[in-house]
Amino acid sequence: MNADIILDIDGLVKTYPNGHRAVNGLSFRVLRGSVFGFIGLNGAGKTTTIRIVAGLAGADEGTIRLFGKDIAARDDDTKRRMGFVLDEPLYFDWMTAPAYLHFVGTIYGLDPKTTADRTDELLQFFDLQGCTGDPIETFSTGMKKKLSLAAAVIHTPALVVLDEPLEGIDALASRAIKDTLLLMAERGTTVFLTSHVLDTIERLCTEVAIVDQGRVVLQCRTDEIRTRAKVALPHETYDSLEELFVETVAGAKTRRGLSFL
Amino acid sequence: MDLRRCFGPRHLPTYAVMTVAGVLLVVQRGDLSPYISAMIVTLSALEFQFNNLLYRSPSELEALTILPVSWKEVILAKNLATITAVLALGIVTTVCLLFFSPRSPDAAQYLDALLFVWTVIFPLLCLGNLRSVEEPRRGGRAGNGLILAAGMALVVCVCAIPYVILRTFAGSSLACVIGGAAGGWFWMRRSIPSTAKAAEHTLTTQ
Repeated sequence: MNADIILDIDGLVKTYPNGHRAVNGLSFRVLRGSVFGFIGLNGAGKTTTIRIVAGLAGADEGTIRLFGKDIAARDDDTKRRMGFVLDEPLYFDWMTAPAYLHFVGTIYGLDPKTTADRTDELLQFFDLQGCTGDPIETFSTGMKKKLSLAAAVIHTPALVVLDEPLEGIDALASRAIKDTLLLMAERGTTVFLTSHVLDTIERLCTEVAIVDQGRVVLQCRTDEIRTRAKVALPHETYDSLEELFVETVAGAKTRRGLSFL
Repeated sequence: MDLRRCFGPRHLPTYAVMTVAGVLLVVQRGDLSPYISAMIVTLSALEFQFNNLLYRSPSELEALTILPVSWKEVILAKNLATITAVLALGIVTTVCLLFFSPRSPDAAQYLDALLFVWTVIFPLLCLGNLRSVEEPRRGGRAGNGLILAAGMALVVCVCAIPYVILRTFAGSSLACVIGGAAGGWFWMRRSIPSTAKAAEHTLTTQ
């Protein structure tokens, strides 16, 4: 087993009870210290994959190895090394932000002083110190996302998995989060994220995987995007991730304008 | 955490209606022990805490799943919170029912009520743990809380059958103590580990 592979997904299949196959033989690997962008259209299977990795859903087929261990074991050591920001942030919504961060820090095994110090720092960093007395259920979407991110990094995980981390976040916080993710990656944390903002993915990520209809259709390093030749026109290369994405996912499909506009 | 939720404003109407029902019962049936009536009211009003352990807030199960928690400790802590809530709410309900009861309070009735709780609490916890993992209600309290509380009152009465047989017919307090202890052993050794195991896999089997 290669110790540099943090997340190894092989042949993942997930069919929901209504018959919809959300993930269909998906395979990819994430290397230690990389910032991995997982992109695809709505309904491509990104969130389902993340939910399976987080233990919030089961897979019908395939294997997932985290830090070299099969995810079926779901041991606490593996969980301690990970942080999650999911599409629907998860918390005890009646708690206040400091209480929640304190609770999470304690669960992750941080000592009380470290938990208290990091809670203060995170609340300040994410500009949440003004609402420390309010229950989380009264927070806006962006505030909840920031709190979720704070909880995901409080224990300095080795892998952070972020599903649309910048959705609903204001520009200043978005900038701060992106800088933080890059800093974390520099210090060895592996970052796995999804986003529909392809410019952000291209700027942040060292590697991308494009997922379509439940399987990875392309995986490459971000710095290879511009050197890849177009399928239709082999003498031309891609100008951006967006262009590569559109051609990979949409292919020959083009959107016509609305008839009434 | 569960305790704070138990005594939040959301559940106050149910407590109030159930207490009024208990008061009417002890006023109408003067021979009923206000202590035991208060305990039946309390156990029924806390239906959500017994039977929906994993979703005391809407995404609680998911939030716990991604954290490195010991499910055994979580279930044990939640069950202990339930017992504490029963005792705390039981005191308030007892005071209300005693105030309206035509019978004067006596120590024997009080001890009987303690025996009653000791006999029924563990079977109720075991049944609640089972229901919590088999039929988790994500939205917290589903449907009408009063209907669920009324259904719980029936379950409490069924769980009280051993108490009625042992205490009322056989007249043996010791048998009640032993019966309750057996229930406690089963709860600790069987119910908590199996509930913890089921809770851990509840989401991954969906």
